[in-house]
Amino acid sequence: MEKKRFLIIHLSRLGDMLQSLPAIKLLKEEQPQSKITCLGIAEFCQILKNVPWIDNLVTIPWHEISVVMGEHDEVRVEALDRLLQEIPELNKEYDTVINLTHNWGSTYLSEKVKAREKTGRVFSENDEVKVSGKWGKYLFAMVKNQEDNLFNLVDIYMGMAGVANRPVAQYLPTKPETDSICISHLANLGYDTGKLSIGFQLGTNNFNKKWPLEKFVKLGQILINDLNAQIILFGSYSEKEFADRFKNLADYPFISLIGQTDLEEIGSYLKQIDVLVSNDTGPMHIAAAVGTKVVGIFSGIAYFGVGGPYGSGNIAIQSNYSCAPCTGSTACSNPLCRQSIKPETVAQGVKIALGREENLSFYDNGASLYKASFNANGTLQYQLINKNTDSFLPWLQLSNYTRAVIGRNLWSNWLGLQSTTIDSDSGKQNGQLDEVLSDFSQACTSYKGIYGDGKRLCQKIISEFQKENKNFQMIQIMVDSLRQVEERIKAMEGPLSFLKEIHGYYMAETKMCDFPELANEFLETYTVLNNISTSFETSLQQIACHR
Amino acid sequence: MRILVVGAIQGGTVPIGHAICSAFNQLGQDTCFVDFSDLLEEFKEVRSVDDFEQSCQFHVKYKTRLLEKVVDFVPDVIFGVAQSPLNDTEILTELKKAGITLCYWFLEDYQIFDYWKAIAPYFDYFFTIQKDPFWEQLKEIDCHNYHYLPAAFDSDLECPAKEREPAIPVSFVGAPYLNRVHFFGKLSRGDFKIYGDGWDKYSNPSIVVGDRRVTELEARNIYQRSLININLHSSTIANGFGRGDFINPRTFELAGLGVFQLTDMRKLLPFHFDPADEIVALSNWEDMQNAIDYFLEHDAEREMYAKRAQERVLNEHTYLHRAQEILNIIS
Repeated sequence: MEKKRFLIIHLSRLGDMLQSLPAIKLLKEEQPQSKITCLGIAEFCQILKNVPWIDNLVTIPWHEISVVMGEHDEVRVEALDRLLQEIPELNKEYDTVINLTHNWGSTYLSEKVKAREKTGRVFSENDEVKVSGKWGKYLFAMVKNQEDNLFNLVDIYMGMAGVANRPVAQYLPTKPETDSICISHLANLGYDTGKLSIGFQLGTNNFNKKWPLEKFVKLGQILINDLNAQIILFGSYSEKEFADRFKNLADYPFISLIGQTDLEEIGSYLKQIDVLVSNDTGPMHIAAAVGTKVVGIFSGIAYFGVGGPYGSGNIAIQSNYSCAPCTGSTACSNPLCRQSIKPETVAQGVKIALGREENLSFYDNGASLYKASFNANGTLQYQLINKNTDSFLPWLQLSNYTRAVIGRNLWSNWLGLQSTTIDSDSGKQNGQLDEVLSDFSQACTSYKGIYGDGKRLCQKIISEFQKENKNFQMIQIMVDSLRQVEERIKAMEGPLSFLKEIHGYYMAETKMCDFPELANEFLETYTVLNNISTSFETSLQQIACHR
Repeated sequence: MRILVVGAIQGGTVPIGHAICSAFNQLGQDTCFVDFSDLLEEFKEVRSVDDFEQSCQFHVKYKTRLLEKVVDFVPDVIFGVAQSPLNDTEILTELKKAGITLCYWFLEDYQIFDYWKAIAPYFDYFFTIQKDPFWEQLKEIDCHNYHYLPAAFDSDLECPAKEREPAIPVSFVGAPYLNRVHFFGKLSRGDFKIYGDGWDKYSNPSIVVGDRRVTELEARNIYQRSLININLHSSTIANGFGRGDFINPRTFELAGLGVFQLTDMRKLLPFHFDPADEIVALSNWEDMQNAIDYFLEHDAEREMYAKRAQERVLNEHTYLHRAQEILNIIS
């Protein structure tokens, strides 16, 4: 078998790094003779040192990379060129470069590395950033449309790596000797191996998505009362004050590992507990990676759809606030959405994750519970558990979820996946499914109309150029009309906003040339996008028939 | 304290000037109000004709009125609201030299109305309805004593008798900013009614009054008769929805009246209302449309939101509360 050389550029934070591990593992399984080099940020890569599927781990310290990861300017280019000189692996030749990072700096590095094939963010012939590959286009289109996405980031990375999507479990190995040290340490702290143990990850890098500590305290009491659990706190050294505050508020015993673990050990500790309850942060993904059940709490800028912990049986609890998830530009400075998730709801999530309960016995209008399972097409999906809609916020959450489910079904085909069946209860009880299907159909019709107009204009332009006596005035009118087609696309709103973004990425791939060649380029692109819209129409009809 | 409140010539801040003056009065302050609203027609004429002499005469007229009041009342504090003619920096300088504390309540979007750049540094206290990045820009022009002060509800204003009939299912009262024209143009439903000056320029079958500003009394009547009041914050971007920071006065007015509203999410909204219990604030137009359908079918829940929002406003967001806050700061 050919020994292919892969370079994976992933200059991202810990959570994203961990979510790319299943793709790397599968890549190695599919191509065992290959050599896989990973480029990451040093501070977030300590945990990857023992990963056997990464043949060569190359790291750049955070202080060197953070200054160059923004948008293009001369200073950054100079700094990036210096990195290229200093890192020998970036001067080697590869078969494939997979750029999983979404910023200009990584694109520049990807551009400079010699490779036969490049995926993810790359430069076009016009030196503009474009996204190579369907999964990459989908990922970056998703950034502006998070609520409409239900593909887990792990699956998206699998797609970008070119591997077939399938479930992967326990993809972060730990050293047996480290496991023993951790077990011994826990025993010294009073850990009872006969008791259920629930971990709490209290902190996160962003205040906006941090579940209030007081609620963790209350959750602890509920779990002790209901399950006779022991509570173990996790956190980095910088989060030590949480341990003190927890101690002041909790009137029950607990074990604190806050400030006592480093990234190389934490996986071993997390393996010893039954469930981790966590904000959306690195340790949540570490727990999932070592095979521990996770209950993830999502509010503020965090959204379960893309970042839910990977693995069957994990639980995501999403704030029902209509403004969640927010983005960097829309985030408020008083995130009440964090308060909307009740400890009783999270406790239910823990019980369901443990298999102690199947259904909800407590309804919380402020949050929705989702449970993960693998689809027949090998991808992970979070399904809504509580379909109670006796007030507006859960009703809206169900409506948006229904739309995302339909959207996922539509995009699956385009991404090369077998379509998933629509949960027959999704929105049906409230008549929302019909309305959502109708909205999508109308959107498809609108897009098809615009692309149809675009194609006709391109064909006319091409035809006019082929004439001996060209009517340049008419050509100009048609070119102006073509600009309006683009404006109409930009103005599109509603369902299928993804398609508008994907449109942009396809247009970025068009060659820089003049008419009539440009008309040919546009015609090709409009045909592709029109075909996508048509395939969506077919899928919608199938969904409508089978519901 | 002797407080001279300087009212606006035109616009939504005319009643705000009266409201804050009344509130200062209720809090035991000696107040006097300088009313310029009678100069509105003259002001419009001056703006429409390019006559330097006429313009000068108008400026002299309103400055004279202001200074006469200052001399007569001898205030400790002069408090101006947005659009009030406290924009002559020479006069402001002289007033400060006279030992008068100058305050200004800038109830505008700083990105749309930029006259703050010329006047803000001259005030001892500059109250704003937005925070950063506006505050950063104020610091850059050497205005450091800024304070956040959102709009409020005038609980003293005359309210029409609570008439709910004939009911209006869904309504909007206000000006045709670009985003409203854009989104309301897509709201093709026969039960939606629009009221406000300037809408007659657009063809929208929902327009009931489009050629004049509805009066305050008319507006309150419409609000009370409406099952759902759409409160879409203004934007000069066509698809501007839920991207701004400040909360408009209408939010407080609708809530204070105890009527139901659907608004777009604003960054500063969660400081004043809980979007889960008190006010329905949406992040995109699709959700707004869904919310309209939902709340037309759920009377009890609609009334519950309206009731909770009203309680919040009457407890925390009247002009009396704002006046007290101002006094706490300037005392």
